Amino acid sequence: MVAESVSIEIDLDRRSVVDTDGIAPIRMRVGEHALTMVRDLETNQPRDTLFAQPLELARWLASHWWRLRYEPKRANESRSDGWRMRHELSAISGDRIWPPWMIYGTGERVVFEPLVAAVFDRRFAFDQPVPMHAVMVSALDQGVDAFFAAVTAALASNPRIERFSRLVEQLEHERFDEEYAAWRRLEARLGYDPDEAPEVVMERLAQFADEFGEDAVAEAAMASPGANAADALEAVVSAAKHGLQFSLEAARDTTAMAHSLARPTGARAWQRAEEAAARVRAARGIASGPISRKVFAELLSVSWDRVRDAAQGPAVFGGVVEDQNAGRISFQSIPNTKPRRFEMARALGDVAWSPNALFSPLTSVKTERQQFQKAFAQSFLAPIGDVRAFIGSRPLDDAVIGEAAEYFIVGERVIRTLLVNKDVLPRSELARYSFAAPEFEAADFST
Amino acid sequence: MRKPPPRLIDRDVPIGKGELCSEIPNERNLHALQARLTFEPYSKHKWVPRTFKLEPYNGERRDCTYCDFDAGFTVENIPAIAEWMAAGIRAGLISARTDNGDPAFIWAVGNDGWIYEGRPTSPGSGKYHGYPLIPWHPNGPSILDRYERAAPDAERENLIAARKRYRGR
Repeated sequence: MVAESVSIEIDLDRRSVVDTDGIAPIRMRVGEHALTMVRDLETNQPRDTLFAQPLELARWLASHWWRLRYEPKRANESRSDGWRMRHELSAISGDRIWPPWMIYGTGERVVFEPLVAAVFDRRFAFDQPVPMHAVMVSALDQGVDAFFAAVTAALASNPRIERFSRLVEQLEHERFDEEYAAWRRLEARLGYDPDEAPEVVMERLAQFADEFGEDAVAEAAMASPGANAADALEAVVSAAKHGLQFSLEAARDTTAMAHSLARPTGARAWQRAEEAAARVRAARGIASGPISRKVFAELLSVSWDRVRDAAQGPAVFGGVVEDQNAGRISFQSIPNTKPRRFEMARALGDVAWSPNALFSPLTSVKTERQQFQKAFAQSFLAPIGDVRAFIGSRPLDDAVIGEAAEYFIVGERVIRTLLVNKDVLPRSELARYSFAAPEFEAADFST
Repeated sequence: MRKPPPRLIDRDVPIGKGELCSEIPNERNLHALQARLTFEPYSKHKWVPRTFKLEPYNGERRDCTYCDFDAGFTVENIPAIAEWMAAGIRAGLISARTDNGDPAFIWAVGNDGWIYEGRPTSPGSGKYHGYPLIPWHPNGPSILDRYERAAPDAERENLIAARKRYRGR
């Protein structure tokens, strides 16, 4: 389910004023789901409001607004203190049972993800299982702006409200000046608080943005955040410029009927990508089943031998640059391995997403653009219906999954991930793999 | 893209307000701090304050963490607190932020597997009250990392249960 509204209310129905300690009942909802669902210890009944300081919540949201909205969850980063302090509600205060939710951006949307271990705490009263929610960023903005206004009104006589109002004014100034907003977005995507990013890094990335566009640099910054971001991007661009050449024109022709699916709609990026892959296969007359290496390479006007043997680029992330209407790709994978074909299919998916991109990062970050690439590649190389037909009624053991991977010429993980995404296999099947994988895992988006 | 005017420096804005100090003070300063800071119980964080011979808290305290309800802390544990606090200070479990000269936050690892967060009861007086840190708080793992590096072997036993409780995600 895609929840499309966020509301944060000070529940003044239950109390006429915020008390002298600044405490009031707060109800935070995403769609119909109350994030502030706690167990009232006096009645032992669920309560959908948390007694806490609305001003503390408002200040936390305003202080971290850019990072909450634009910084993704990266591999292993959900365990780093710095990231958690800026993305988990419980960072607001250690002495209250702030509910166990993390909030982070994926591009089009903002995700509310529960801390799985914490929701079982006896202080909470969540229905199990607690789902993730992904809302359009505009929904978060509306909910947070309304909350800021409510806090300002409810605490008008509080001496601390003036400081908060100054912070909100400054935030609004940044949000509505496009030049300032671009700086703050990039700073957040690099994992820095406001004013903390090294200017030399920001300036170098700004030059790349002038050359390749803000979207491409944003994806690269998120894949390699911090002080080395510009070096990493430079290395990938340089490797791509010397990388395998393929026909962008052929790729654009191949994906022409799918370009409209890249635009944000009510459907999730992975759903649009599956539709795009099906349309491309149908338009190119590709029969059900696997796509041979030869046919696949021909779609990009390049020989399979050259794809197989092309040099490996920097490991940090892959990318495609446009070079005189040709595409040149920097591979993350080593030569002559199955992921190579998957990377090429992701590059094809990115042409569907952004046909005129001058640079297309292929990264492990959980953004809609990367999600689209990965889901496109999976569905293009191994459509779920065809995988199901191949497996038939056989038991889903390692041998059968291995056979399917060989048949569709993909890694076993692609097959396993597809089957998990479609609820054929349990999610625990993916525990054997590392987080930063080229395949798309629907768990992070299928809310 | 243009750099915005710098954010107003405002210590009231809670960026990293409860984070551990990045540089641990030298041993002499830690000893001085240890000698100066004292503990006093606070009814706000006791589910049954009278058990601790405390008058009930007057304000709104619903949804606070409670030493007795959450951590199973009893009146018999009170004498141990001074040593938990001292061990925490020796390990550098203090915040960078100060409040009228006192660390705005201190932390102690109890032998009950809980981290207790301390706040100045009256900033500048050196008197602190504490409460159990919620187990999913982002600071938990790094507090335990720092404690483990500094604590003698005997105190490391406290860590076993605490590590299970404050696992991060």
